[in-house]
Amino acid sequence: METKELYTDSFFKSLNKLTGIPMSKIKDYARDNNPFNILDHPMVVEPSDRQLEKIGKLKEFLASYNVLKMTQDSEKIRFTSPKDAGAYFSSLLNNMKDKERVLIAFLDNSNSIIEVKTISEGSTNMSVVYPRDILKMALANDCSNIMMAHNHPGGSTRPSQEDIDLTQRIVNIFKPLDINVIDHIIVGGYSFSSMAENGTLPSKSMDLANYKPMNLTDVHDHQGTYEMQKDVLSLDEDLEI
Amino acid sequence: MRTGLVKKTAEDRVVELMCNMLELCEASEALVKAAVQEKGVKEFFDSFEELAIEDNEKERIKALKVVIDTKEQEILLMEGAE
Repeated sequence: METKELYTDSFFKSLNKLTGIPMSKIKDYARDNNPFNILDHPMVVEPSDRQLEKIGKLKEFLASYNVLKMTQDSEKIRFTSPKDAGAYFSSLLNNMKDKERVLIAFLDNSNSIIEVKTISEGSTNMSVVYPRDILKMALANDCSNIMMAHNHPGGSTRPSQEDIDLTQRIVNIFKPLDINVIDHIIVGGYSFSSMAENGTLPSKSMDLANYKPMNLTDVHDHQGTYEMQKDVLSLDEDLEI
Repeated sequence: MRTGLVKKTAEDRVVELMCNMLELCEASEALVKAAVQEKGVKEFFDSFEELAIEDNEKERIKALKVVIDTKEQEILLMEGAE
């Protein structure tokens, strides 16, 4: 069966009913494209504000439904790619419009979730992370790997320098214990980025472990280009925002 | 694995988003929530026609089911092609 054959009139009608986008526009776009792309790139059908809002809601629903299916289809949620992890964390964080929340997934050696914990919840542009709390939880879960995720209420999915610094600090703490930080997912609105995928995930321990609390600031305050951390943080160094 | 809480959170979120997106009235929303709680989301989509809610609301739920089914078939087809 061809993928195109899946997109029946009933499907187009349903998409029209849920989003308000005229059938003709959906069909025109679907002639050469996957109609589900409209959810990721709604401007291709030039929606009104109301239609744009409905498209956003449908996209959010499908992401959450997908996660629910993952939890129901299997007793274990296993991450096999940044896409899996991004979809999972996005469904948990994309409704956080007014504050920043940091989640950590503690994983076994097959990258299946042992437990997911909220380790920090802050204001619109800042939350404080206590690395020693993460360490305590990781040891309690006897995990092999951990994955970090947080949202940027400002909507950007670009990792800020603070995001990279925090990740480096967590790598520094866990590397000697043979616990790998396999990714840090950043959710902004309905999108996400993976530090592992975009090459900004620190993989080596660069310093002595530092357990001081750390402020994490939303990226909209720091729009500079990101690059790998070059300087090593000292034990006494506080990170000021 | 402590999936219970994750599952509950995910289910609550799905129902909340669905009711909001489909603009169901308060009475229908209560019926939908009760049905999902009793049967689970997947079963709900197979049996929502039995609910005592407005026909136009059923139409919107049906539209959502068509989109979900199409997406699932698309994923299956793509996985089969890999």
